[in-house]
Amino acid sequence: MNSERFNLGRFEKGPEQKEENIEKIVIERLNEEIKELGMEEEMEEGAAEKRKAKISPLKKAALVISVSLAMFMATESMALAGKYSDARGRSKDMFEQLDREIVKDKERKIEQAEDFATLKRPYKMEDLMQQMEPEAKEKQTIEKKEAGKEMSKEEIEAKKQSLYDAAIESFKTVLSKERDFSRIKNKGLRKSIESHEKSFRAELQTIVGQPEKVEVSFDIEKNQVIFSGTYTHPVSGTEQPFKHIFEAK
Amino acid sequence: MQEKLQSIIEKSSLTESQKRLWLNFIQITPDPESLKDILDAFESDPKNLELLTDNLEKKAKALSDPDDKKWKAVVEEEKKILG
Repeated sequence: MNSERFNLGRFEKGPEQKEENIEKIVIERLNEEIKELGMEEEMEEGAAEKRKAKISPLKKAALVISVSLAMFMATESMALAGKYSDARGRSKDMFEQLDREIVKDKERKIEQAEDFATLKRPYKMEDLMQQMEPEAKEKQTIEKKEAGKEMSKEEIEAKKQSLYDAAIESFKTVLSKERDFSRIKNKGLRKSIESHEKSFRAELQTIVGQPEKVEVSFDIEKNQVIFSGTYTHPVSGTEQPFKHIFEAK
Repeated sequence: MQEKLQSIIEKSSLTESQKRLWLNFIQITPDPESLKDILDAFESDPKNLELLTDNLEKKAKALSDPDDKKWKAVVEEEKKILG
């Protein structure tokens, strides 16, 4: 299975139109699922609870899965334009892990079938995987180091500067646009997403306007700039930590 | 509640990948209160764990489809089964 397909391929196609379409899909999906679950605030008082009570536990749980995934994607959709955010990292991890585990499961089953056929079991598959993984990681590290050697110091510095400039430019573009969440009918959810958006913008504003508060590191191999530091929370006024990863196309 | 849910998942006969998917899902759920509905489903019938695991896997995979077709197919299938 291609992990890149899970890896938010939809978000990496770039144009703003695409971003708006995705946001629209996510919001429509969210409204539909919330309606199904009987959580609409437009419904008469108590009607939502009554409706929810009528739904079987299994259906209720299936709808909760839908709503939770859709809410997660809606939150994530806020971070589309610049290909960054913790949310992106989390979902990337989730889907990559799913891919890896599916492959592992298949390998495990093949191994078990072979063991059964030959009546031999010299190793447990888990042991083999544990032995193989560090070797594979070591090989990757060596390959990366060798690739890094091909660039001169000056080239690396120039690359870093170009990545940093691209990140700042992308953040400025995001900050120049106000996002409208009025299409989300559920007031509680809308408030929550708007609050998230405020914090998100405050974080970007800190990166762009107060670089002294921000630590910057680079992953040249992955074309990434990693920004970490603290920002002033727009509501509570407290200092909160953040981490943003920008990946150049 | 979250701990109870995790405990049921960890003690279950699900594969390691399915268990990890659930644990990831619990982590990303924006409203932890809603996990009670999932816990209720697990407790109301042990078969629900298997059914909801399949449902979660299909939905997690469907999120990758930019045209939303896979998601709609999963939801349609769900409606046919659950009404």
